[in-house]
Amino acid sequence: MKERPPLFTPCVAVLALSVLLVVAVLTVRVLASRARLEGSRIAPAAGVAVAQGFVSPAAASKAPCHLVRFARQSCGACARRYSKPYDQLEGAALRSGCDSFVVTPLGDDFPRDGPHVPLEISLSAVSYDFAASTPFRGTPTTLLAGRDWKVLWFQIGIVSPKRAGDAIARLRDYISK
Amino acid sequence: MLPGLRVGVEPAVLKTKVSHTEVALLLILLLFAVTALGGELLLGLRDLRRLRRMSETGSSAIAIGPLSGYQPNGRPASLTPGEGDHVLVFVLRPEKRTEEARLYMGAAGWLRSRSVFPLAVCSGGACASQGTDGDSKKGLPVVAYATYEGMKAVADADANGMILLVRTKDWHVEKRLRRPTSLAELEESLGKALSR
Repeated sequence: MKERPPLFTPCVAVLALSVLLVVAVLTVRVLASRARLEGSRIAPAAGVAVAQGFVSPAAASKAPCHLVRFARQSCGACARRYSKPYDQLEGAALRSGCDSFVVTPLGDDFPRDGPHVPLEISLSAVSYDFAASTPFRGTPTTLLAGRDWKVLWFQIGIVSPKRAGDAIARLRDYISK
Repeated sequence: MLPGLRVGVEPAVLKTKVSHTEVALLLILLLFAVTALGGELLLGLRDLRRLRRMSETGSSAIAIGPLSGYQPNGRPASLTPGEGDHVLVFVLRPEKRTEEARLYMGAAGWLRSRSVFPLAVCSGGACASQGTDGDSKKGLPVVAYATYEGMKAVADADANGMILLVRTKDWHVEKRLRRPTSLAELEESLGKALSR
């Protein structure tokens, strides 16, 4: 009878360990960046909006919560076909009386398929304090903040249905308090 | 060579017949590990390159986007430097507002003679006071709102105690200079930067 080879040779074990290590490092990095921001306070998304004109820090802080999306024209993952969960989150936020901001790196490179809803505030210019307090390094990045701009939820990359569900639950919990 | 070691290793490794499944699994894991580690390494190198480009000594080529944005009241800023000129971008911090504004306004003449325009970016409540219009008239244009990328570049520099010398032709950061505390310091570091 042919002897069955052992499944985990030392080589496979080492490789599996290195894979696990890489996955762990990546997970820790993502969780750490999320944890660093959630609960911290950022500056209001004050600036100059394409349709609404000047949005002062006071005007940007009136709503009970704020949804901010960092997106750009050349970002494929920002396209509407990947944004259904985000649309659900935005809808839930707007129904709760929150406002929804869209910020782009260069101020004139908004996603090509236009605003997701007419109520969206597309900021072409932002304040120094907003830029300094937000860690937007890639698109899309989405952030949900309370009335006082304390971050409730944060997501780098496409918003998955599960993450959108988490955000909506967090939003409902916050609004009900 | 250590014969004992060889004897100890051989039975476990050499007497094993490796199946095709194991080889395939090994290759897939190897490919995955190499891709993941390579990706991490590339990301790290990209960050490092970005930091090196932004360093004080290196020649930087980072576009920060037009900073001639908007004043604290939301009106467009009046700064219109000509092509080929430079803008010296610094942050007006609330706690140091008066002395910083005085320093750069004092240097405005010297800067203009070298085609460099000082440009203050407001942080905190630094521009909430009525002094902003006065500062603009005295040669210190103030910007309160600009592109995210531009503001982020200024914020990153300020967090490291730096100010930016920006080429207005294409809004590229030409040099990062240590934040000066006196006119002499400003003249020295800027003089060096412009003479290179």
